[in-house]
Amino acid sequence: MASIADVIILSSSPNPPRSPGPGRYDTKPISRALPQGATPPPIRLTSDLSQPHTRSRFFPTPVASTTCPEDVTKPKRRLTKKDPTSDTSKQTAPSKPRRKAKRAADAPGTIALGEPQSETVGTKDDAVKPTTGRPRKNAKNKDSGNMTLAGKVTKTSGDPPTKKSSKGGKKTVATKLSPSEDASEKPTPKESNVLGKDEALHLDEATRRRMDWTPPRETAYEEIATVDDGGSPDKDRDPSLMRGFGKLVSDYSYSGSALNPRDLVQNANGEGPTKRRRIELANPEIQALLNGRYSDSSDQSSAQGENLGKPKKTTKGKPKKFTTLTARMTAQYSTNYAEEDEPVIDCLPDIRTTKERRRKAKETEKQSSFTVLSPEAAVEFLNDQDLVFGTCSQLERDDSPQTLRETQQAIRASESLPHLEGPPNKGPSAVHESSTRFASRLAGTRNLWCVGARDTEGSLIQPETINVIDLTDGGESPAKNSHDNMEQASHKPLQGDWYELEFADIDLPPQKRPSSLPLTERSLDLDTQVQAPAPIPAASDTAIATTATAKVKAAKTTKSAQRANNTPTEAVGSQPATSQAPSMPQYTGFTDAELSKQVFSYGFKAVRGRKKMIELLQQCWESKHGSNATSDTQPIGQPEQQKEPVSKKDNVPKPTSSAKTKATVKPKSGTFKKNRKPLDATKPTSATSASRTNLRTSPNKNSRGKPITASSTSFIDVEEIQDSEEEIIPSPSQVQKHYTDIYSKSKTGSQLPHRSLDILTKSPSPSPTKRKAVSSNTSAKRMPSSASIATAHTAESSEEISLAEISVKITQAVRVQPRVSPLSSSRGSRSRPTWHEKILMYDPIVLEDFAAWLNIEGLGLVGEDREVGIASVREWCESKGICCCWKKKATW
Amino acid sequence: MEDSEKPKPIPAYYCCYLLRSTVRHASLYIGSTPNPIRRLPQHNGVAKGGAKRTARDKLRPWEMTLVVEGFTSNVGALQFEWAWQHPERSRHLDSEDDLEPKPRAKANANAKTGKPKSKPRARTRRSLMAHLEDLHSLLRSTYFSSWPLRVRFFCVDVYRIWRAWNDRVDGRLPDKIEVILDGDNLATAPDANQGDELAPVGSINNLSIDYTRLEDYLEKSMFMLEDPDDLQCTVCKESISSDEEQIVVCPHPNCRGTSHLLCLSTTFLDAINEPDLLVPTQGTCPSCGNTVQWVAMMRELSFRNRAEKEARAILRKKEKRVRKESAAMGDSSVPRSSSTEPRSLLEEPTEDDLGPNWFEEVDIESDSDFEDGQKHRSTRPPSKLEIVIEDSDWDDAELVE
Repeated sequence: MASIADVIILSSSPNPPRSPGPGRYDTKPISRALPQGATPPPIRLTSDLSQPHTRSRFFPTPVASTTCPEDVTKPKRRLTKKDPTSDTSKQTAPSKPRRKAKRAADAPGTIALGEPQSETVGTKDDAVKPTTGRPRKNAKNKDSGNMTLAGKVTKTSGDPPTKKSSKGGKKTVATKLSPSEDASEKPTPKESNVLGKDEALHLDEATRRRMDWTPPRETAYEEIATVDDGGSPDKDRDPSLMRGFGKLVSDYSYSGSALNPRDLVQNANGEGPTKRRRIELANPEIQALLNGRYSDSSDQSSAQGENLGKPKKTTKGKPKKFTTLTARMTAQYSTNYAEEDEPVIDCLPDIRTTKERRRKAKETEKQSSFTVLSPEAAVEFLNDQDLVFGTCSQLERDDSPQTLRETQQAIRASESLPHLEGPPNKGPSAVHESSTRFASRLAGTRNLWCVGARDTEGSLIQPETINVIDLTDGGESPAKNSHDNMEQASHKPLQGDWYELEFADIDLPPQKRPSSLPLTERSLDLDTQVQAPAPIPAASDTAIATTATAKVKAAKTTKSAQRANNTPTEAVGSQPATSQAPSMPQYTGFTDAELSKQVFSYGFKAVRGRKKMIELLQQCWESKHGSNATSDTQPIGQPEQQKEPVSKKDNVPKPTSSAKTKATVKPKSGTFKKNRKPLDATKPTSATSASRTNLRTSPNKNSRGKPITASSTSFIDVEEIQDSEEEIIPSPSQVQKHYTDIYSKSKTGSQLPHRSLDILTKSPSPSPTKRKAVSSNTSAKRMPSSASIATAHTAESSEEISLAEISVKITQAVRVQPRVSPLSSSRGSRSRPTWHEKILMYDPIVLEDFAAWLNIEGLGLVGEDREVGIASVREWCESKGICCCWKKKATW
Repeated sequence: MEDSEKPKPIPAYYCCYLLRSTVRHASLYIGSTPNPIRRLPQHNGVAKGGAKRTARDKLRPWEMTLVVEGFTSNVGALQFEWAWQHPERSRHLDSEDDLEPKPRAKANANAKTGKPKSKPRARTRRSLMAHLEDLHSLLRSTYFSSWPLRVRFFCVDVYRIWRAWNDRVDGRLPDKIEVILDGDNLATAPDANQGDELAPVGSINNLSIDYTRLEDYLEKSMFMLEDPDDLQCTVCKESISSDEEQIVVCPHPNCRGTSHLLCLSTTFLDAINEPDLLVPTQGTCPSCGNTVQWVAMMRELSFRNRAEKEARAILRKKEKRVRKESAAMGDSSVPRSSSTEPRSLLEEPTEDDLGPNWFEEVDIESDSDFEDGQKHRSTRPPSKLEIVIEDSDWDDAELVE
């Protein structure tokens, strides 16, 4: 395939520079056509698609080389690549250079002939003009025709030699690469003109031969013809033979005799129109005409930058391309795959998707280094890399890296076979391509799966993905459980119990857990886990065990894990508020109407957004039943709520959600234990997952678990740390304002495990005394933490979260604001009315000022540490019917 | 703005109006002005400053078919105007739709779907019916429903359509929003009864658009507060100092009740048992037991406190007028009947006092905004949720202020 395309390119490109060749083309095409037709037809069949592209390549490439330096770089690359291919092919088939030499000899003759015939050419050009392709050429041709033949001739002669010289230089480079071809080629382009004329005389013979060879030619030509037809309007123009050929010549002119004649032959033999053309060509066989055309074409080409570029290409291409198609084909099969691949890639965009191109390009790059044994090298590469096929879930659930490796090896073995077969079979190009494609696919897959492998090995992403899987796939849970069990069994001896606990919570992939570098990896995986688990004292283990026990109980209780958790926590010595927790209704499940009713029931006016209503209701419920209950209740509601949003979770970035959830959860939660427990319960997102984790953890923990009261306190410090860290991360959440509490809640379930992990890891570090103090102060601290969180987040993000809550606080703050004491200021509240007074007096409330006051002072009066954004303040004002406006610009 | 700078008193009058061409009834225009008496001639080309959109001679003269009055600030009036002009963009209408599933005006149908703004269909529905529907929705919206607004119809046919729509629409206007029949709706021209804002006046030119109607109230309150020593808050029973505190005086002529602003508001709010409410609409004066409108008290309070000069000027003029009348008529104790003459005199100073051309600017900008809006806003990319939100309330607010 690729080889054919290359050959065509070469032929087309060389023709224009060697414009004199037309006569030759006829002759040569016959001779060449015969051999080409015989061997190449099968190849061409495959390559048909590629060929048109080749032309396109030629056009741009020459232009680029001549005109645009930028483009030149690319074409040069191509050329260089092509050169080696051609060189190789030439080496394989020395016969081609010989032909080229003959053609080159013909070329000069054609040039000479071309001058006198220029008139005819000019007329032809006029006819050609209508074609969009080359108005410039036509104009020039006309001019040339009008002016004088000599002028044209001079142009042709002058330009082509320059081009040729340039080409020659390029060729020299090519020759360096492949000395044998270069030697033959270099002389050929210069000489080709002369020789071409000579050969032109042989056209008659060529035609006869063609007739004889028609059958094989047809096949080959058909393909080529299709290519030509599609690629160039010239054929359509063929009825006016001269025109079409003129273009063809310009395109292919230099190709030397071989390529152009091929095209012609192809046209003639291939399709109906092509045959007609050919006949016409035969009729005008008059060398003078042909030569004139070519000369004109050469002139045209010289005149046009594109043409110039083409000839240059041709020169470059010539030496390589001149090596016959068959020779190249065979040679390529024998030797260079990479080179072939490249042209194929360029030529065959249609057949191969862009992806394939990319893959091939990658392969080619890789293979380029292994030029000789590219397939083997590719195989080696493939072997080196571990390829694992499967979905993420599958990969994650694979038991051990060994199995993965084994599977990889098996895959390699299976895949390596076609590759090995491909190269030895060298004969058919199709097979070869297929092999190359295979390699390419493998490479591509390799790239894709490298990422996947990394995931399996353990990266930041993993926990998330795992969670998602768990959440989404309820059915898979058992498999995962088994997997987890496997992991635990394998890892238990290696690592401490707490590790296991963490894993269970985090759902880290098995591979990581066993890894000898758990600390580093974990730190990477979990942002929160700054502190290495190593320093954890025994007490921490015990604490963990206690938590584990709590978890186990919770698991037994099933979804209402929190209750169970709470009960154990209470037993441990935490606050008893859990009983109320279950009573918290799940507002997310309510319809809007129901929500509105609920809102009314709490004495609130109708709130616009469903989210807001839910928030408001939750807040109301919390306030009604007490903070402790609320803390428990929210987490409880989360797991159920999660079901719906789970699908959405994937879309929504976790960091934002985590931040929101924390902000909401923390202030409400009575004690850290409670938070943590609900978190744990929520971690498994689905009840099943929770049960699994609990089951897993239970045996270990129970065995070691020695509930210690201090453990609960210890967690407190940890949480604060977590808050600060996580919250900072989620700051980008602003974008997702629309994803309100529901999402955040759902997310919380997924993210919570991280928190719990953090807690576990970090909890041991703080001293018990501190813990106690912290526990006493927990409520106080929570608020500041939340406030800091709010500050960290953009105002807006925080707004929506707490708008419902905040609105109540705002009203309180407005009411509470003390009147300015008359003593303090001379005019008192009259000159500086309080916000409530302003509102009462229907003053338009400047949102910026009001928000600033709220954040600085107002909310503090109400004990609200969070900050409000202007948007939320606006919402509040509008809900109250308070005329609000933005601060006017400085102009006023 | 008002804080650092000098806050403006509640305007004596501010309205949004629906202008209709008497020649071609389909031509409508929504504007806002603190002075419809001056504004209408502008639209009709009698005076300078009419909106471009009303400049076509073919459509003149224009008539004000209805006015929505009672705005407590130019900002609010402009916000309302904008929302009325751009119902498809107004967040107030959108929000309302969320709560009310009923099929509102078609423009809102878009709003319901989500971000309505995607289709700047702005001018598609500009029929009188549509405007009235929008007006109805706006008056029911969360934001505007609590405002002390009144709708005054001057044209019978317009009111007929309005009533028809009222029958069809699911939502009801809040009770506090008064609908006043005026102009053509009245069989007989009403007496110029100045005391009552709600009374029909017969014609736009009879609207009391300045603070003169407050003069009695103002006179009483200022007189009382000049010697506040014996005054005490009717609620908290503490002494009051009018210089330092916001003191509300009962508007009832015979009531000497004074109270702190917050005290009285708290009393009123407690009375209606709506803890979430921040601004009462009315209440019972703890002193005289009469029902008093909160807006009226606030208008007087803000004018007294924030435009002291103007207030005193009004009082001086009243004194002059009274003196003249007394001289002419003997001594009738009826300053109130002074009617139009003094009013015309008083208009000028009050307006000037409000600031140089502040309402004129408003008008112009609102007009320009409206006109440009068709082009600009229609051209604006519909992406707008946020933008629109800001624009709606914002631009006008900024422009005005």
